Amino acid sequence: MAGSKANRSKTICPVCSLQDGLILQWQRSSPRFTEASPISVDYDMENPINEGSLCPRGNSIAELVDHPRRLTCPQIEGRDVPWQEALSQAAKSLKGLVKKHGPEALGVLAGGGLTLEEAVGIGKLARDVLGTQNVAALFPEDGDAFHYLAQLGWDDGFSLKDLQGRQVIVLVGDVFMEHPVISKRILRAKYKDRHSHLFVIDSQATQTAGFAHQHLQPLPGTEPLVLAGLAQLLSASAQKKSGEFSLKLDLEAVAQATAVSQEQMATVASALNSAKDGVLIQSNLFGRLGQPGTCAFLGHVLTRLVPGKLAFLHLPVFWNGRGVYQVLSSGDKGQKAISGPHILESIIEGKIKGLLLFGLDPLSAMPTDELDQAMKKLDFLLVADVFPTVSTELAHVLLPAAIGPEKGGQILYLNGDKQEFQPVVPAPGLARPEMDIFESLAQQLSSDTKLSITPQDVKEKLSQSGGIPWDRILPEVASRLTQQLTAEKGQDTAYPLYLVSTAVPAHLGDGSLTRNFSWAHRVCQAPCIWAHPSLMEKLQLKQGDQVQVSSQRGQAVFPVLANRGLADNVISAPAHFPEVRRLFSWNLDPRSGELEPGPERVLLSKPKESS
Amino acid sequence: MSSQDVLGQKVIVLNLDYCIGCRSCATACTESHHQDLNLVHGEVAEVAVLPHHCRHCQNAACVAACPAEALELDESGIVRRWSNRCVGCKSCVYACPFGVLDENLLRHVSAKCDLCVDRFHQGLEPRCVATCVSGALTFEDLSEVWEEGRPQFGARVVARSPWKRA
Repeated sequence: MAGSKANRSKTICPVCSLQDGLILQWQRSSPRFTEASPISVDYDMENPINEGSLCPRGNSIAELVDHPRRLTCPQIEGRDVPWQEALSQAAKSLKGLVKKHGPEALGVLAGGGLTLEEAVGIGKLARDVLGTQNVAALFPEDGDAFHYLAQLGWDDGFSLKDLQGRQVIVLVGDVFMEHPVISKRILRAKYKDRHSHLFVIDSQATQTAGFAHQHLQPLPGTEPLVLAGLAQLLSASAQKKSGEFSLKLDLEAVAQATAVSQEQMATVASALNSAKDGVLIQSNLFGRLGQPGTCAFLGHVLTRLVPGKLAFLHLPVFWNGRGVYQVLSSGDKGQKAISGPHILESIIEGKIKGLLLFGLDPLSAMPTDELDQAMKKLDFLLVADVFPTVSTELAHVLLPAAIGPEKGGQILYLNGDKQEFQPVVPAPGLARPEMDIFESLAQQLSSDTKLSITPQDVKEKLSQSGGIPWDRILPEVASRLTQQLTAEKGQDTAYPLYLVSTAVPAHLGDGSLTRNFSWAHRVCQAPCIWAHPSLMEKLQLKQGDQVQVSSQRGQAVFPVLANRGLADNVISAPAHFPEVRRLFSWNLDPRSGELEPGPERVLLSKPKESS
Repeated sequence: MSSQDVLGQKVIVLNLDYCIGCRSCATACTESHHQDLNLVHGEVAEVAVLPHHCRHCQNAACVAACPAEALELDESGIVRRWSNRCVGCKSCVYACPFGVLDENLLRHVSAKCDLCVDRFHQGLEPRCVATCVSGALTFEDLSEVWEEGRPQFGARVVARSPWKRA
């Protein structure tokens, strides 16, 4: 029983970008690594952000600390070794590679679970110690949205606390299922405080859409066209203009391409225009929105067309995703930094022979057969992570890292504020915070280098941001939008259906972290697809039947389940599994070089009889 | 104030207007009850997903049905299950008129809500209510639930228009 003897520490949930406050509590005398974990989660009711609420992922945080699958010992080729041996082996291999192929044969990739100091440390380790410019953060979901927002100078200043006072709330995507904790404030705004008007733009009739006063249901992938239509309507009617949205789209064609009528768009535009204040919230999910970067850009443009009244909030997937991106995307001395997907392409082309991965698994995040093969052929792979993943299986040197409550540092909150936090529990076994790993590795690589990160370094990296006016980027976006408008007219007969992804609140991102939680294991252990009952009937499929999904990328067999929220030409699947992500195309945004994980065209058929 | 005064009168109320079906409540429940699923969810027409809480009935069918005296209504008004007496016969599961007992037996005993009795004695709400992300679950005094003008679907479910949330 949680009595006075229990140790209680306030901390931050280390999973998604809402960074909810929670309390970890444990018995002082309890031994670690018992079958029933002595650590439990309590609710931080005084936290101003989440007021105690935690989503299924947040409730599972206590499992992280003593999880039986945690990596707790450094390994070389699968053999447990002391830290010193692993580090000197890594340093030896890296030095050998640099000598043989030059420093540009090395690549470094970082995930969203790192602190700001750690991200700066990775940059220094790569650029100053290893001498390579191939260092980037890899966010398949958010990368291109981050790019546009960084170029525009980030829309800061809006915090979740301000949500309650908004008259109009427009949600793009399945916001409630991806970040459930945000729902409390939105629903309070709708029902209690201001009777806010709620619009949802999403290709599926989701739980989130069920709460909308009006649900705009565009065809999968056409969300940017809907937002561009809104921008055009607002630009024409806004009372106080701060710029001209000069894109002359034919609204009738937009309505036809998106299946959202002109009247529906006009309703949202006039609500935004006449309201005292409003907010547009976009959440990205792999394979849900078409061109998420363009959507984020247009979200920013909408806020400028109705100045002072409309705020834009982009909800990244991962914990400190924005912070890590912001630090690593600003190259040294104004140099243009390379994008994560471009590093993966260099690996596939064989230009990168040695790779260091910190807190991410590219083979879960952006899996393709080519990348599989290329990763196996690497001369050297170092992985620092908390749980075993596909990449850790291939690692030559594997280093156990710490997560969230086990380390301290600074992270960036949604509105651009820095949050500082302290470690509250020790990392299990021999696991170490990433910062320790960089420092020791840098020392092994060159004994005279000391990797010290000061608050000034972090500040400098964060201050290097764009501030380019949106109308300078508009022509590039405009040409893509007009292209899409003409392309949407064609019917694809070989792949007649759309595959979009569905958010499962138990999982996050590529699922390589959340798959280890017992709740996620219970409710969504393996991928499946959802289809409308009428589509299932047409294809003579029953609930739970195995069905083959084929796209241009490949094919896979999943059980099919009924979902009335889908249109009859759309099927959906949880994007938290590599098997599902393999079906999606590897489209890169030409401007940012980041992945655009939009909906995919697929064919549904009965699987061939297996013997 | 005795525990009888506080515990017997407070109930978990589900506001259908607010529930987003994320199952945070069920996660909080399993994580704190040795992975037992004490809080089952119903799926209405594959669209709405709603938690079904134990009503802690005054005249409980599950207690009457239990052949092993594993279920009892304690003095504080909570229907509790003693896992050491439970034989896993599922009689309570079939007896419950609200379908709140999970029929999947874990550890061969049937799972049963205890209103997070450990938190209760500290004056805190059950975990499912504390964690609720949308504000759909509240822990209220029975007298407040029967407030005049509040649309009701049974004592523990309130909503304005559950079928059309606008």
